[in-house]
Amino acid sequence: MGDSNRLTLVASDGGKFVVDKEVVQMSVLLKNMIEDLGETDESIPIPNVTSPVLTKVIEFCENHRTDAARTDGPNVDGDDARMRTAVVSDWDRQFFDVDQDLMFEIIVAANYLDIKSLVDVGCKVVADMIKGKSPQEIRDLFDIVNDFSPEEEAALRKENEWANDR
Amino acid sequence: MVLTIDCLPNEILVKIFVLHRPRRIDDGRRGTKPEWRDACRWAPLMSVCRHWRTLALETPLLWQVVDVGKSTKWLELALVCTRDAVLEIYFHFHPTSVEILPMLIPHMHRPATFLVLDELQVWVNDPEKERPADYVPFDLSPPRAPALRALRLAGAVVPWTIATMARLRYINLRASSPSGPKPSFAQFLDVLEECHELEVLWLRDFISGRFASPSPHDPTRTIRLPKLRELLLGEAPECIAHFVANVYLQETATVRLAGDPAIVGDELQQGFDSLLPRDTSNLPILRKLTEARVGLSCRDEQYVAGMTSRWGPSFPFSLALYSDLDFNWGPYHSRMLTQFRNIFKDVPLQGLRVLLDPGDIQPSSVWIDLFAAFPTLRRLEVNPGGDPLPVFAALSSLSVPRTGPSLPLCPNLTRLEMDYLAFSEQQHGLIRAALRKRAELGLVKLDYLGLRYEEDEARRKMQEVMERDRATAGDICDYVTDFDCSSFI
Repeated sequence: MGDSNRLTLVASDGGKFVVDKEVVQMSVLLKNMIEDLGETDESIPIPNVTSPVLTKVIEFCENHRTDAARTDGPNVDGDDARMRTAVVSDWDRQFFDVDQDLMFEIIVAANYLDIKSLVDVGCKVVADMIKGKSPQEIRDLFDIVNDFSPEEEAALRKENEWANDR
Repeated sequence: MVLTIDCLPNEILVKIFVLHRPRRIDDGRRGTKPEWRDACRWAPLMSVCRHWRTLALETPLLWQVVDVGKSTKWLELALVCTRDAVLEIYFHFHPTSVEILPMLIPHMHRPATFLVLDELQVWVNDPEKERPADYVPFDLSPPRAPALRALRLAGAVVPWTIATMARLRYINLRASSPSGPKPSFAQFLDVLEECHELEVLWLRDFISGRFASPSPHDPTRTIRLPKLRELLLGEAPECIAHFVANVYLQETATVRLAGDPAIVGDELQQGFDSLLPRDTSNLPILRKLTEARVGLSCRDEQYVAGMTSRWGPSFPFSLALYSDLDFNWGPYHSRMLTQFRNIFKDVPLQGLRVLLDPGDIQPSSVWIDLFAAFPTLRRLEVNPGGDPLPVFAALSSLSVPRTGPSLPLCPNLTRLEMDYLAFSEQQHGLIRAALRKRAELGLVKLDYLGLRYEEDEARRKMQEVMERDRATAGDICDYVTDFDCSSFI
């Protein structure tokens, strides 16, 4: 019989992670699964998340475990207000100081696992990367293909003039 | 597989986009206005790629704060993209811009709290809509517009409720309709009764036809608006009469009552008299009137007593009937003077200006009746032009009362002016005779008499006759301290 306060998560590539239930419960998805399963020694598979990503997710949850109560509380002001008030700490910025593909994988995993604070911080980090940049700079930053025709681009320039014409 | 930003689910991308929205004013900085850079700082996101543009267009949250600039195109886009979501709209230019208003009116139920709005002015002129019933009423209740104190609406739907109207100091409603089912006149009064802060009230084509007929009204009901200092009513006569009967107007208020003949209809025969109730005890201002103007101000307005400021000093009370430009008021002049006399009889008038159509001097009997009603007159100006003799004939006559003794007319008159006169040979002799008769009746000498002729030739002839008569029978100057005989040309 294992420790009832801990459980095992299995990443898509077979990697196993033993973590505190308290930490895991930052994920609404996992919290619901634990409640459904009750007391069990069975490990929980996370089929959409690889080991490197799951490592980062668990690292975030362990660091923010004291925030869990706040995160799980009633969503009084809605997602928008929560996201706006979410604080990105130095630790969070350091946490997301990774390659873009890993950063996006973490955000996608957080969204899948329904870890609101991680999604919020991830979105804020990306938003900060975009802030103040022109469309071309954003394309360059994220390697996005410009799929507008020249005519459409001309119309878009006009649209931006409307937005900024004071 | 390398994950790029394009692999993020749409809901995550939307969250990132939304973080570029400006802060809402109720995020803790109440009453502050976001900079325009903030309001549209997310706009470049729409130009990155088609996918991002589609997402932005389908995210109402992004568009909810609109900073209206020189171009209305962005607002146009925002009104569509926000669907039916709450809006925050900021203006750098006048909010009643012709271009913006027709666009905004159908959406006026959507703006969020007007935290800093203390005056709302909306003017809709849509000839397609005789009644603005299709418009959504403004929600201007205190929770939504806590600072609102002035409301100026035309062609709009008005929430005529105590909650909305009671705190207002300035109300100007023109061709607007109360929201909901047609209220009764009593309901109109119910709301008005609670407007204790009201200082200025202008209602034009608001009560008439939009509230149920005021008849029968409650003659025992008296509403007091203690702070009201300016009232303008441009309504059907029966509405004006009932309003005045039910609302006590302080004698310090300025009151202008205007009837639209399109509304007056057959009652035009009763003219100005129909604008007031028979019992004018709620109008103490009538008893305080000392200056008045009667006449034709311009082709489409017929004033009785009082004038607007553009014509000179404001009078505290005015009555007016409006008409189409081609309406001929000439046949109504005599009636107008009679009704003016009936309405204002015994008012202690000291100054009176009478302006009629050029040359439309009335017979002396009309002037006798008019002057008899105002024995306190000290200054008189009569400007129909033409022959001044009927006025002088009246001034040298006695009143013809139904009962009691006949009395001299205008016994305190000290100043008389008449403009645009025409000359006639017997004029000087008859004017001199009229003034002599006033002297014989023991009346005070005129301090000033101004006879201004339309043409200089007429003035020259008048002065020649005066010179000729002076040696034999005396001239006008014997009865006047300062006589001014001049011409306009």
